[in-house]
Amino acid sequence: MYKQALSDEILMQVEKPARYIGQEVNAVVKDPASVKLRFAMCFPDVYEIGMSHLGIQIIYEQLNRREDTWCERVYSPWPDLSSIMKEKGIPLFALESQDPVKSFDFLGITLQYELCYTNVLQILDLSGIPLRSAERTEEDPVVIGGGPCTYNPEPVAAFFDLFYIGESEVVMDRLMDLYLQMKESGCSRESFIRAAARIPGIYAPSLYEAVYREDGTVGEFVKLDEEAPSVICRQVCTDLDAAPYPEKPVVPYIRPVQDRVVLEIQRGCIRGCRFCQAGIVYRPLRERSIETLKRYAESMLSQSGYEEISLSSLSSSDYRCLPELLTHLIDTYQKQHVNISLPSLRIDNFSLDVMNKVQDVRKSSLTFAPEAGTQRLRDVINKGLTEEEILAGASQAFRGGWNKVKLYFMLGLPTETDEDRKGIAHLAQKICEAYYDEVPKEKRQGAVDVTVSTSFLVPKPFTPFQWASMSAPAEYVNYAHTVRDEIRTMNNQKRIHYKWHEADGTELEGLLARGDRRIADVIELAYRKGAVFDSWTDYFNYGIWKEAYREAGIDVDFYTKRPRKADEIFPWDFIDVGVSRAFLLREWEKAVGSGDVTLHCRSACSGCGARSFGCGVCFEERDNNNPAYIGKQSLGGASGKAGEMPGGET
Amino acid sequence: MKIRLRFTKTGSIRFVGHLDFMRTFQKAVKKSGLPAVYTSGFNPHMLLSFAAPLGVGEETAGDYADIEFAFRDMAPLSEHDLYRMKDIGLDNDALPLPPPVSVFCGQLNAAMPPGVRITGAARVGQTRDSKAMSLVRYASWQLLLKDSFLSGLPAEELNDMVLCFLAEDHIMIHKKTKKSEKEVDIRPMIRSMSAADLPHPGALSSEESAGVRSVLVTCSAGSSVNLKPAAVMDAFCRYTGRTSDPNGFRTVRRETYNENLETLLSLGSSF
Repeated sequence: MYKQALSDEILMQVEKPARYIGQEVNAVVKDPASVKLRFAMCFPDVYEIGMSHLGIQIIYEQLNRREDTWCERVYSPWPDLSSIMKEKGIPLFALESQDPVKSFDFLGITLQYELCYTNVLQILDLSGIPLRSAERTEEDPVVIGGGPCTYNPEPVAAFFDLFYIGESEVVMDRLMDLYLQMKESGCSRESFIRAAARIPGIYAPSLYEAVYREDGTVGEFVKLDEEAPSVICRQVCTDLDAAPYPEKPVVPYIRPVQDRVVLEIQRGCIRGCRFCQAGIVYRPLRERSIETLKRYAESMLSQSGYEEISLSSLSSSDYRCLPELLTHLIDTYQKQHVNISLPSLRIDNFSLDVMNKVQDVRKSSLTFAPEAGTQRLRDVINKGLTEEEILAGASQAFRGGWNKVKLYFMLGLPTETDEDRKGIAHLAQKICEAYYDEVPKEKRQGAVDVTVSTSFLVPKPFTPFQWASMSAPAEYVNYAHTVRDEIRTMNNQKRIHYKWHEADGTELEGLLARGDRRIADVIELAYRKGAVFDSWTDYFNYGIWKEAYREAGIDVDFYTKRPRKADEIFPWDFIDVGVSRAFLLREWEKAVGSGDVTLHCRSACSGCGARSFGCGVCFEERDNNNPAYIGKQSLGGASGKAGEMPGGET
Repeated sequence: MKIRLRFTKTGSIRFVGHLDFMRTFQKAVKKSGLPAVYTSGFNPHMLLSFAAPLGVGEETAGDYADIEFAFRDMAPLSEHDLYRMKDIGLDNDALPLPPPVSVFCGQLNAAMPPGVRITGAARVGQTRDSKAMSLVRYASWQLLLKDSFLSGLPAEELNDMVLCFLAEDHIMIHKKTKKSEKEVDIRPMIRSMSAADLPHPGALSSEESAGVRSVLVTCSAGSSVNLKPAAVMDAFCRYTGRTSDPNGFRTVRRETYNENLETLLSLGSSF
């Protein structure tokens, strides 16, 4: 008989009880007596967000293929439920079996963004697992972290027993095998952690110690166990076509953020935007074959009943078979009443034609991500998109009937001046003008509508901007005001809407992104004081964090505003992502020096180091007839999908 | 061809609210591979409608949904039928024949989430008043009592209390709407009420099929007059001099009826 961890009374009391019941179509249910290993895979945010994440579904598929393993899902209980659980002492449970997380062998937590760190502590706390790895006993699951934030795991190192730096497809099975073997022979938790650390890509923080200099920077990263590796190498899946894929996706009852089948067409990016961590740490670009993708589309749609399909990648226009794939999806599935949700595409005749076929031109908007307001600054960040290309793309789309444009920019970029900030307003104005120039009065479907959004740069580890300094929150607000005021002086100011991000969250993100082990105290203090769901504006309370900074004696400016020397040892330097520090430094010096752009991987190899993985774009045969190889740099990111960030992965 | 489905929804899926349940149902129909008919446009949706929404936490053993399928209708088609089919771009003669009802239901059931079962299906005409939603007048409910005062009473005593309750000429309740608060007499909305020891209608195993002390109510339902079983329980508890506990019972709809107290579907083996 099916178990329910929460009573009817509680479920009737909380918002969206269907978040907690499991039993969705395609959820994997096994007999606990028939498996040897129980794995709880957690996305530390609310169900609707976590269920939209492809990575977890891949791991879920991969682990559940093993007969000896049952992988289940765990998400953050919404604050209404978490307070009831705390009050009544109900332990956090996994959705499928509704069994307490604490009884599992592993608790895997994916770290997709820094602002989820307090949620990680909430997960541990509600599970009844000691927050610090050092305090855990044989009764506790092995807590392992993965995902993009593990490229600097140090701020949360104290809370994890292990991290896996790399793609789950590569060594997860080896890790599970080792665990089972050691569990059966009665080995201790500690000896397992030591043994696991010898598997490539596995980082056991307890086996290392960071020693700091007087100036507060890292002096040395010391091994406490002779046999632990000195460098942790990122593990890369070299053949995506052979990798497991969730062909029977779990279908949530309540609407997730991504309520559709997601096809990951490729991993990695050739572009090399200097602010973008994903563009570096997922190198090299590796494509899935079109045959594999066609097969996945068919099996995922037919086994889920989803009525929409979308493509996922960092820059879909770079997928060499994109026209063929999109044409196939439209021809095959549109007549089966499946929506094709377009990724961000370079604007050209093909993409406009495709957009025309799958969406209502009057309602959809075009999205461009120039990221900076002037060409000079766009070159600094290596975003090759030029003003001519943006205006040409917009003009072409205006002639095709579109009249809504979204523009995404970043503020607080290295070398940025007021000139660059004002340039954002000027570009928006030029787009308005292009509309009135291109579309004769009698053909206009209402007025042009330009939405400008800015966010503030958070320098991330393993990007050329890892050396960059941030500004203070008050300065960030001034930057945004400069943009706002300049827009107000434009002729078409009434057609330009401006939105900007809050600056406090940016500072916190900056601290957590480039922090070291000493930040763990701040995170724990903030959690104890009630910080949780920090990525949700309604719950984010920076006052709590500021209190925690004071109590922990942490100088935030040291982590955010301090200029870093070229040879500074970073807390994350013991990780080798396959892209060399020398390349990153070259890129940084170019950015703040000559401002020269670097060509993308298909134009010219810039020797980043990712070739050593022996796969992907580094070994592609050049095909000069394919548009993917034409053009030296630019990416005219434009998308038909409202609210979607070009090049962004949700 | 418009097909009316009779279905059950029991177990944990009772916590899935009506709108989410509709989306889930729609995905399951799509997954089944049966040729549901969609509206045209950029956001096509299935021609699917439910007879009577269930509240979060409520189960059913007899609910209905109408879905349009691209099957050839062998019955004589009315003017209205033909007009509607033309409207959704279907040519009756070009459509495939429907499978037998058992095959059809089997295919749907293979795609449904746990706790949802299609227990019958039949063709319904296209006329406007044949919409399941507009036919609903009554529903019968089983309120399975949990650990409360009422479940501890001897069955006969409870039944006597129910009979006395029903003998009242007026049963007044406070009804709060968004705009106002008013006194409503619910007595005319209650067709029948009794107490009995009955298993949960969705019980599958023999262990669960033991009787549970329950209150059975048949009362008005639908778009014009709708009475929630919880309101009846609330009034009944007050009548017995106790405050009612909203968590003191589990609510299961046993059947949905039209104005003649007939079920919304006459079951057959072919469409």
